[in-house]
Amino acid sequence: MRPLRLGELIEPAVLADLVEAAAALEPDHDIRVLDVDGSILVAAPAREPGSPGATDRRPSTSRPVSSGSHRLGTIEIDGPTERTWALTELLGRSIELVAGEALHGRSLASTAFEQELAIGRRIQLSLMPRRFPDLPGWEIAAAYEAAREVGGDFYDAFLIGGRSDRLGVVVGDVTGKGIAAALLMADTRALIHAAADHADTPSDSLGRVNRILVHERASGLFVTVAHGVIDVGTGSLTLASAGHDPVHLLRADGSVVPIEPAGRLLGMVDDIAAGSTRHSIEPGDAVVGHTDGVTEARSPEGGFYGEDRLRSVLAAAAGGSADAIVSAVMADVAGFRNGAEPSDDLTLLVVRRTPVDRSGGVDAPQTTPFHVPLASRSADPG
Amino acid sequence: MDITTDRPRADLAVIGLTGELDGSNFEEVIEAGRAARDGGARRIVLDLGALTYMGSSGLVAIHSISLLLRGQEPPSAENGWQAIHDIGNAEAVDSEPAVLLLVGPPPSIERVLSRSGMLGLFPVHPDRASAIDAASLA
Repeated sequence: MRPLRLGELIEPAVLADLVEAAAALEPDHDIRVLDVDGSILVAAPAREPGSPGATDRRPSTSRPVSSGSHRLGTIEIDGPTERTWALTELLGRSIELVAGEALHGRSLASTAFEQELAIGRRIQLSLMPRRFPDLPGWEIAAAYEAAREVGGDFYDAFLIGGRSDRLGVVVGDVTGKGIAAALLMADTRALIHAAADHADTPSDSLGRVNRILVHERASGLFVTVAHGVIDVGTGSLTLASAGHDPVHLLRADGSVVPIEPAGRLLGMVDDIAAGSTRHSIEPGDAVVGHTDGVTEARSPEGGFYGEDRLRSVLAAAAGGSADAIVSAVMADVAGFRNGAEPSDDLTLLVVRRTPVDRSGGVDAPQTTPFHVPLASRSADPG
Repeated sequence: MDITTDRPRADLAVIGLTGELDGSNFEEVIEAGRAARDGGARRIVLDLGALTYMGSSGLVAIHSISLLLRGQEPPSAENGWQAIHDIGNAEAVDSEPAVLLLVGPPPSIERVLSRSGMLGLFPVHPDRASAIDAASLA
C-alpha cells in the first residue's frame, strides 16, 4: 500500500499558514516540514539570524508527524533557545490535528473562522498537562471546562529546574480566541517554564515573560497569570500575579484567605510592577487558583457566580482532598449554571498539602487532571 | 450594550457605554473609538458609569482605543492569523500624556481595572464634567 503523504493530506496553503504562525512566534528559528519520503514541503528560514545566542545553537530538534499508526512526515527545527522543543511540539500537534481531520474525511467546521476556533481549541486541549508531578505529601488536582467559542485558559504544575523540591504552579487566561490565542497560551506557558528556572521569585519570572511578550510578540492579546512557587519541604508559598483573579488559601479549619498580589496583566506595558507575597501552607491547607470563567459563570437568569459563592463552597470543602475540592466547586458551578452553556473557559487548580498522618495511612495522592470534553471533540489519540 | 458618542468639542469625543461589555461586543467599542478619531477627536472620554459588566475583552477595547489615539493600529485578535502576522508592528502603550480618560466605573468594573493594573495607566474621573475639564487642560 502506498504510504500516506502529508503533502496530499493538507493543502499547501494551510500548511504554509501553520508554519508561518510558528515562525512568527520564534523568528530566529529555522523550520522545515518534510513529507514521509523526506522531501521538503515547507522551509521557513530564520528571519533573525546572527542573534546573540546563535553561536550557542543547539542541535536540530526533530519530531515525527503521525496520525494513529500512520507516519506522515517530520518536522525539523533549529534554534538558539530553550523554546525550540516547545515550538516543535506546538507545530507538530497543530499539523497532526489538521491531518487527522483530513484523514477521517472531516472538515473541522464550515467557515474559516469556525475552523480556526476549532483548531485553536484543539491546540489548547492538547497542551494541557496530562499528569502532574508525583510529590509525597502533596496532592494536585485540576479541572478544565472549555467554552465553545471563547477561551485561552491554561494551567500547569511543574518541578522547577528539574528538581523535586520546588513546585511551580500556574493558572492563566489569554484574552482572545482561535489560533492566535492558543499559540500565545502555549508560548506563555513555555516562557514561564523557562523563566522559572532562572528567576529568584515568581514576580521576577512574570516580569521576564512580560518583556518578551511586549517586545518580541506584541500580538495585541493580553494574558493574566497567577504564578506560585511552593517549597515542597517547608510548605512556603511565594505568589505573584499579573492581573489575575485572587488565589485562595483554604485552611484546614475552613477559613478562606484571598491572596491578590499587585501586578499588571502581561503583554500591555513594559513594567508589570508585580510583587511577590509569601504564605505558609500548613498540612491540610490547600491553594486554589481559578480563572474568571468560574466567578463569571452565569445562571440562566443572568446572575454571576461570584467570588463570595466560590469562597463559601471552598470553606465547606475544607478538609477534603484536592480532588474533592475540585469536584465540589465544579459541581456547584454546574448547578448554578443550571444547563446554561459556559460562555468562557473555566479552570480550577488545587494544590493541597496532605494532612499529617491520622491513623498510619496517608491519602493516596490525586495527580490526574480531568478535562470536561467538548461535545464536538472527537477522539484524540494519546 | 448601547454606545453613544457625544462631541462637546471638535477634538474631543465622549463615548458612553450602557449594559454589558464582553467578548461579543468589545469590537463595537473599538470601532466607536476609531470613528471618533477619524472624525477628528484627539482625546476620548470613555464613560463606564452605566456598564453593568465588563469582562477582560473590555481591557482590550480600552487598550486598543488608546493605541488608535496614538496613531497606531491595534492588532486584531479576531483576525486570528493576522494577529500573528502583525507581530512586531505594534508598540506597547506607555505612560504618555493622557489621551484616553475613563469616567465613573462602578465598583465591580473598577475591580477589573484595578486587578489588571489599568487604573494606573489611564486617569479615572468621577463624572463626565471633570473628565472633559481635564481633557481640555491636557
